[in-house]
Amino acid sequence: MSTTAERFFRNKTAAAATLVIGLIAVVAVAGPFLYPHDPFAVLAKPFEPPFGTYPLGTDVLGRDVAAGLIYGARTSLTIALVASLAALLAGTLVGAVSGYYGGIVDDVLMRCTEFFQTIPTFLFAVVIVAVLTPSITSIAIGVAFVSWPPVARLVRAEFMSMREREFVRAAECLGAPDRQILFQHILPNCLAPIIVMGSLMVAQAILLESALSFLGLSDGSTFSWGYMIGAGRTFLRSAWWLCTIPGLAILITVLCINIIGEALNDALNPLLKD
Amino acid sequence: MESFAKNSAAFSSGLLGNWSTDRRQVLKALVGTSAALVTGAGFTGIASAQDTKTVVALVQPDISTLGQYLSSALATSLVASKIYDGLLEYDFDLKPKPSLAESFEVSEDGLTVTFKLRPGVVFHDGKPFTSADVQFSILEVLKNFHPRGSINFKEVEAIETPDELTAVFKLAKPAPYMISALSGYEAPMVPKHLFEGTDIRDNEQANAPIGTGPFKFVEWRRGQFVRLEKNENYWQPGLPKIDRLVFRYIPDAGTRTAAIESGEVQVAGFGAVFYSDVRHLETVPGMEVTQKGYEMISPVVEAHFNTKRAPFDQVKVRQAISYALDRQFIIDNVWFGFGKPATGPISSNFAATGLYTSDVRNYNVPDRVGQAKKLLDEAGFPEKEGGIRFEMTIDPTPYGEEWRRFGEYVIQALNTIGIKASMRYEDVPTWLKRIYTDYDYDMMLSWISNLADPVTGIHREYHSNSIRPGAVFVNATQWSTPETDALMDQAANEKDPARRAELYHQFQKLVVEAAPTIWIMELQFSTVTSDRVKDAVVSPLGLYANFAQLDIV
Repeated sequence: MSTTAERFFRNKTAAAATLVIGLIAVVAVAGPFLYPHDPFAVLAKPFEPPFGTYPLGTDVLGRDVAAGLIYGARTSLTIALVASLAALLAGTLVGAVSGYYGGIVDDVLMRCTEFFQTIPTFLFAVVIVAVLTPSITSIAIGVAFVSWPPVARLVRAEFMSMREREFVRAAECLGAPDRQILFQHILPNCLAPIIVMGSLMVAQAILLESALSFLGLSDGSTFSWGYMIGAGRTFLRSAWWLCTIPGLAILITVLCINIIGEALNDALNPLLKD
Repeated sequence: MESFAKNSAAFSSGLLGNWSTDRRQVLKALVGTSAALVTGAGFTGIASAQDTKTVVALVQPDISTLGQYLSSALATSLVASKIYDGLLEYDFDLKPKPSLAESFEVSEDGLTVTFKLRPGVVFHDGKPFTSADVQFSILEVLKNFHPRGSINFKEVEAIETPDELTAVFKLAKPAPYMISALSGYEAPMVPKHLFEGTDIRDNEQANAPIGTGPFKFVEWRRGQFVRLEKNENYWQPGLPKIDRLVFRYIPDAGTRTAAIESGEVQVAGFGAVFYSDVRHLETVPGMEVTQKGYEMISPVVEAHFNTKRAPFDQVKVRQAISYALDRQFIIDNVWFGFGKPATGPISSNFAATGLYTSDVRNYNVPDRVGQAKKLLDEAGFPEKEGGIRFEMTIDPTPYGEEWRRFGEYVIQALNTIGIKASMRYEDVPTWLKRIYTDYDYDMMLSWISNLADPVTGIHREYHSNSIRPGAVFVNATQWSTPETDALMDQAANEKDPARRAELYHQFQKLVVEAAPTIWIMELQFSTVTSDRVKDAVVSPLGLYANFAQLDIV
C-alpha cells in the first residue's frame, strides 16, 4: 500500500511535468525580481534575433521578448488559476445541490447548466469579455463563466450516486444538517474526479485566455502569451521567434498540466492501487 | 476615416457577428491560399492566351456598396471611380485638368462658375451626357446624399443649363474649394434618366452602376470580386488600354501579400498590403512600390485630447505631451518608415497650393523630454512619490494592430515624463460611441484624411460647429476659439489664393500653439504593382483615378 503522492511520483513523466510547471510558476512569481524591466519598455532595435544581447530577441517595437514571456506567464497563469478556481467552486456548488436534492431543484439547476452548455464556449467567452471591456478581471470572469457547467454535471453525477450510500443514510438518520452531509460527508468522497477535472481545466483556461488575447481581447496594459502570438503573427516570415517562443511556452505549459492531470487521475484511482 | 466608419458599421452588429466573420475570413483565407497555389500560375496564362488584357487589383476592406454618390468608403471609391467620371481631373500640383468639362470659367466676383461640357459623351447605356445630368448629380444627388456633398456644394444655390453642353453654377458666396472637389472620386456624374423620380438611396444603381467612365460594370460577387469590362464608347480615343478589370477581396493580410507576390494580383494600394510586407515586396524583383498618388487624400495620424476634461483643459499639459512623443520613432517602428513627421493640422501636401506652413511651434525638438517635464512642473503637476505626476487612459482607434502598438509606445513615452498611462482597446462601435457621443476619454489615437481642401478635410476637426455629439470623425476634442472659427469661415469663402493662404497660416499657428491635437505623422500609403502594369498611378488621387491609362504587358 502506497500513498497517493508516492504513486503519482512513481510516474516519471508526471514528475518531470510537475518540475516544469513548478519552474514556470517560480518564474512567474519571482520573474519581476529576477528580470526587473517592464515588458513594455522599449530597449533596443526592433527585430533583434534571439541569442544576441537579448536571450529571446526583441519584438517589433524593440521590446525584450524574454521579459514579455515572463510577465506573460504571470498573466496567463493568474487568469487560468483564478478562473478555474471560480469555475470549480461554482460548478461544485451547483452540482452538489442539484445531485443531492434532486427533483425540481435538480431540474431547474440542470436546465440552467444546459443553457450555458448549448452556447459555443469560445463564442460565449468572446461576448462576455467584449461586453465587459477587456481587462484581466473580465477575461477571468469570461473564462470562468464558460468553464463551470461540465464541473456541475460531473459533481451532480457523483453526488447522485453517493446520496443513496449507507453512510449518507446514516448521517441523515443521526439528524446531521444538510450542509454537513453535503460538504463533510459526500464532498470528500468525490474529491478525486474534481481535482483531476480542475487540473485539466487550468490547461483549458490557459488556451482560452491565449485565444482571446490572440483576437485582441486582452488587457491593454498587460502582456500575455496569446497577445504576443497575435501581435507577432504578421511578422511570421521575417521574425519567426515572435510567434514561436510564446507558442512553445503555451504548448509546454498546457502539455505538462495535462500530463499532471492524467497522472493524478491514475494516482487517485483506487482500482490502480497496487 | 470615412471608409472606417462604413466598414465598422458593417461590423457593428456586435461582436457575435464580428467573431463569426473572423472565422469565416480565416476559412476563406485558407481556401484562397490553396486555390492560389493550384491556379496561381495558370490564371494569367489563360488570360493572355485569349488575348484579353486583364488586370486584377486588390480591394480592402470589403465593398459594401458601389453607389459612390452615397458613400465615400474606401472600397466603394476604389471600384466605382472607374465607372464614373467627374467634371475635372487634377495634376500632381492639385491643379484642375479637363475631364467631362472641357473648360471652366470663374466670374470676377467668384459667384458664377461656368462649365463647358465635352460633346459626344455617352453613358454606358448609350444615353448622352448633358448639362441636365450635371445639374441633377450635384443638386439632387451629391448635395443631399454624398457624405461630403453638403460641404463641397454648400454655396451652390442653382445650376443653370442654357444649352446641353453648358452648366452654370450660381453660388451664394465664393467657394474656391469647390473646384478641387469635382473629380470622379469626390463628385461622380450620375445619369439623371436612371435616378429621376426614384428613391436615390434605394436605387438599383448602387448595385450595378452606370456612368460615363472608362469601364462598364459587369458582375459583383459579394465578398469575392467585382468585374468590369472596357467601355468601347469611351470619350477618349484609344482608352482604356485594358479589356477587363477585376477587383478581388482577400480577407487575410498574409494571403494578400502572397497573391501580389505570385503575380495573381497586380495592383494593391492603401493599407491592402501590410506595412512590413511592403518593405519585403520592395526587395522582390518584378514588384514596384510607390508612395505617389495619395496627394489628394493626405491622411494624418493624430492623438486627440479631451480638452473639456482636466488636466487636458490646460494648454501646458497638452503641449508637454506633444513634446513627449517621438514622431520619428513612431514612423520607423509602428509604421515601418511609411510617413513623415507632421507639423500641424494641415498636411505638407498642401505646400503646392501655398496653404501649408511649417512656421509654427515645433514640438519635434532635441530636448523634447526636458521641455515636457518643465511644462508639467509649470502647469502644477510636480512628480509625486514614485515619480508619477498623474494617471490617464489612452483609447486607440481599434482599426488594426498598428494602432495598438502605437498606444503601447505612447504609454512608454508618457512614462518617461512621469505620467502613468493605461490603454483601453474596445470594439469599433463602443469606441465610436465613447469618443464621438459620450466624450468619455482622456486621449485617443486616430487618423483623418486632409482630402483635397482644408474646408472638406480639416474644418471638421477644429470648428465649433463640428462639435456635434453622435457625428463621427468631427471635432472630438471639443476645442475651438472664436478666432480660429473666424479664420476658417473667412478662408472658406476667400477667392484670393494669397489671402486665403495667409488666413490658413494664421490658423495653423494658433491651433498648433493650443495643441488640442498632437499631429504625429503624415501617413504614406503605398501602392504595390507588378512591373508588368504600367501607369497605375497618374494622378494625385492615385488608385481613386479612373485607370483609363492603365496597361499591362
